[in-house]
Amino acid sequence: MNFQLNLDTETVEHAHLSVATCVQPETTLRDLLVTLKEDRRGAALICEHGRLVGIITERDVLRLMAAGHMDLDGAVGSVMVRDPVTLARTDTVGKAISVMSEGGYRRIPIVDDQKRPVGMLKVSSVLHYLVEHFPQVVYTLPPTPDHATQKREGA
Amino acid sequence: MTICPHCGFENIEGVDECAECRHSLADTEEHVPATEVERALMHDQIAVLASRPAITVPPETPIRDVLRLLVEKEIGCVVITRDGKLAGIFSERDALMKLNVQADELGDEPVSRFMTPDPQALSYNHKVAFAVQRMDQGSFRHVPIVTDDQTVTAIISARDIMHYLTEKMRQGGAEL
Repeated sequence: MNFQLNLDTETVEHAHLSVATCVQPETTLRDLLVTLKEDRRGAALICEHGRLVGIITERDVLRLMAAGHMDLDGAVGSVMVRDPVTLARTDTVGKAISVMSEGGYRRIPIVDDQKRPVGMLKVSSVLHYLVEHFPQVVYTLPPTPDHATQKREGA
Repeated sequence: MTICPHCGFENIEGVDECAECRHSLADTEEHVPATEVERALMHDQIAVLASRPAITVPPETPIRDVLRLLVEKEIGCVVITRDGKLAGIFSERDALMKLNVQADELGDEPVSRFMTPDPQALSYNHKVAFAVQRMDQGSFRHVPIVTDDQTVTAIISARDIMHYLTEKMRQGGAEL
C-alpha cells in the first residue's frame, strides 16, 4: 500500500469543499446569526452581484458579542471583513494549509477568476483529507498509548 | 528496518512485534513513509506541537466574562475546570451556536450552562496522527491535554496542526 499524501500536487478540490452560505451586504446581523445557526455554519460569505466582497466568521461575531450591545438590526456589510484571502480551485492542499497557518484562518473561500464563490475550504476538511489519505495503521494505534507499553522482560 | 508506529523503536526487519513495546508490527511493514510530512505524522507525539497553556475558568464564570477573555487572549476556546480537573470546554463556535442573537441577554449566565461537558482529552505522548484523527472524528478544533489525573496542562488546536504541517512540508522541500 502506498502513501497518498501528495500535499504539494493535489488541489483543494481533492479535499472536500463545503457549500458556502452567501448573503447580501444589507442582510441584518440578526438574520445572519439565525441563518448560521440553522445551517450549522461558522461563517458566511458576503456577496454583491454574485461576487465575493466580504466574510463574517464566528470570530468576528465573537468580537461583536464581547463588545456588548450588538446592533442586531444593522447591516452585515458594515461589520464584515472586506476582501478576504481566497484560493482558486487549482491551488494545492499544501498551499491551503500554509495560508491557513500563516493567516490563522480556519476557513478559506474558494473563488473562480470572476471572484464568484465556488465553495469553502474548512480546516476540518483538511484534517479529514489527512485522515482519509493516511494509512489506517497510523490510526489503529492503541486508544491510550500507555496500555500496550509493557516493558520487555529478560533478553 | 521496521519502525514501530507506536513507540518509534527501530526494529530489525521481519519481526512480528516491537522489541521495545510489544506492539504488533504485522500491518506496519509495508508502510514506508515517502515524505517528511508522513514520517513526522507517524512518529511525532503531541508534545512537539506548539501547544499553548490552557486558559481555564471555573464553571460559575459569567458567559460575558468568558467572551471577553476569548477576545483579549486571542484564543478560540476556554477550558472549564472544577478543582483543577477538566469539566468542560467552551469555544467561539459555542458562542455562535448557543448564544446567537441572545448573547447580550444571557451575559450573566454561568459558562457551565453553555459549555460542552467532559470533552475528549489527550495526553502529550499521543501521536500527532492520533490527535488529527480524533479532531476529525469528533469535529473538534480544540483538544485539551491532560495529565493522568485529569489536570489540564495545555490545549491543542487545528491551527497548531496546520503550523506543524507547514513546517514539516518546508523541511521536506516543498515550496509554499
